[in-house]
Amino acid sequence: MDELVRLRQFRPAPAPSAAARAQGMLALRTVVGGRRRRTPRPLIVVAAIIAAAALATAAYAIYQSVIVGSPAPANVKNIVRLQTEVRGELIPRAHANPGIEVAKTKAAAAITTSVGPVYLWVAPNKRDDSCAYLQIVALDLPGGRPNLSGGCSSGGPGFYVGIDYIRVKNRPFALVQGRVGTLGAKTVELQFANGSSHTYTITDKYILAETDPNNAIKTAIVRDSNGRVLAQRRYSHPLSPSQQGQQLLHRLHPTGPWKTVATLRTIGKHRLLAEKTAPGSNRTICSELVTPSGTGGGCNRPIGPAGLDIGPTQIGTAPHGWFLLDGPVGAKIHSLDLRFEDGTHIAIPIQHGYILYQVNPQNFVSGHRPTELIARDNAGHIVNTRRFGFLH
Amino acid sequence: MLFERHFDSIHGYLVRRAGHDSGSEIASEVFVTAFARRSRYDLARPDATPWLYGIAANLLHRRRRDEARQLRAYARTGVDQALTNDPAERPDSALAAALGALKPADRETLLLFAWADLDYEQIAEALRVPVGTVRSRLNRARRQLRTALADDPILHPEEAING
Repeated sequence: MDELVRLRQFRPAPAPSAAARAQGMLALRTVVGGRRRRTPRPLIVVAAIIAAAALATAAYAIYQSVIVGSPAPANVKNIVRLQTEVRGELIPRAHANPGIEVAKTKAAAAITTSVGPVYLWVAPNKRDDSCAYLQIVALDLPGGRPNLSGGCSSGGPGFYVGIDYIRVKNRPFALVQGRVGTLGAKTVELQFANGSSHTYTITDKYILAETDPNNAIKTAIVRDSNGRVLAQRRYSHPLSPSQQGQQLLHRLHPTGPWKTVATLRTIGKHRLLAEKTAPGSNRTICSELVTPSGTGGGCNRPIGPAGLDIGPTQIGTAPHGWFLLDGPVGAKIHSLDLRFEDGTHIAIPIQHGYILYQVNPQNFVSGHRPTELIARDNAGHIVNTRRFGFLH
Repeated sequence: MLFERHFDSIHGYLVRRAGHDSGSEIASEVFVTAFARRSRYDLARPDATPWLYGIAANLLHRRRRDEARQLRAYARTGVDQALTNDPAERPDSALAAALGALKPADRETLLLFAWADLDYEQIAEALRVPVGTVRSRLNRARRQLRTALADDPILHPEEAING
């Protein structure tokens, strides 16, 4: 038998594993979510195909059996459920999406684009967040499995718009999308760098439409039904896919040497982790978390004196993964306590203005889970707090 | 999108390489690493597959001792720890021994070709080596396997019946 044939029969490829996929997605979402908290708002729009969605007036029409406002089909709900009910989670995360009501997932937008239908599915959750999942049908998986991208973000009264750039079957494809929580808002006018403008009707707080990948948004104006301006945002660097990408990927970069500010030996295997920082472009500070398996980070504006930009980061999955608290603390913060459900607390060491701390897995038991970070100044006064959300 | 499109194939490859637990863990790390390194990805590239397998290769490289140990153990005992769910499915310990004896770079190249179904150009891109190097590594690895397996043939069922 040919050695290649024999090799291909050796250790047959395993069947796709939904559990492994869910765990992988969780690990990725944890990192993406953990880093997103430090990302300036305009960059959020670029980095994620999340939460945003939209609706042109025509989207209310029926498209290929998807009716805007109608319940999502079972296969869509299954994927939403898979994305929210993952296993392997070590600990409740502050950016988790508690209480998403999968059964109430419905179509918020259905548009026809140059790459085929694009749907936006939204689901409520108990925190009144905005949970939205984009489906570009051309990217669906074999077997009719919807290829959803999305998650939950703050459902507050603000607004954001952006252009999302995606390659679909090797074609550049751009969606203008946004969420408008402004009370009484009816339309969003986008003025582009090439002098053109377009007004989008807001439906159920979302806008979604295909746009020219070369477009760049200069100004976004939110209006009520009488045309009165409710909110307006000008972009100093017009938002376009390429420019957003440049801003995200190239403009914000380290401009000086990296310096290790905090280190940690993990519990059990004693792996060395390090938090490093370097001065960044555009008056940012770059930071990265270095682990044996990879490095992740970004460049962000410096935090204020009482700032507490600590995000929970999960690397790996239960039972062997690590749950870390890492990030910068403001100069005014003298001490930091991690409080547990039963009222006990422990001090978290601050190293050169950063913390890098692994929560002991023994503290994950119900009744003794971490609930809150409490920051105090040198007089012992509480100057900031950060609560963790619970999934269960 | 990248995750949805590539996870199953990357996961499948890594499970074959490193076993269920480690493979799943590394597969997660591949996409976390890809996210962290997204700035290095050239959007002009039509396909992210080689890039992701390149990341996977780097992560596997750090665990090459684990894999080599696993292959040696299998060669010795006939129990494939990489297939904990079905250890007796294909007790090809001779092949495990032969694989374990390959140079890591040759093994990486061979398995990207045989298990990940990458072509020469994609392997070159994944491992950041010239296509010529891929060809020579593949030739060497296949020759070495052929030699090692020459005394331990596994016959097709038809061959067994006819022979």
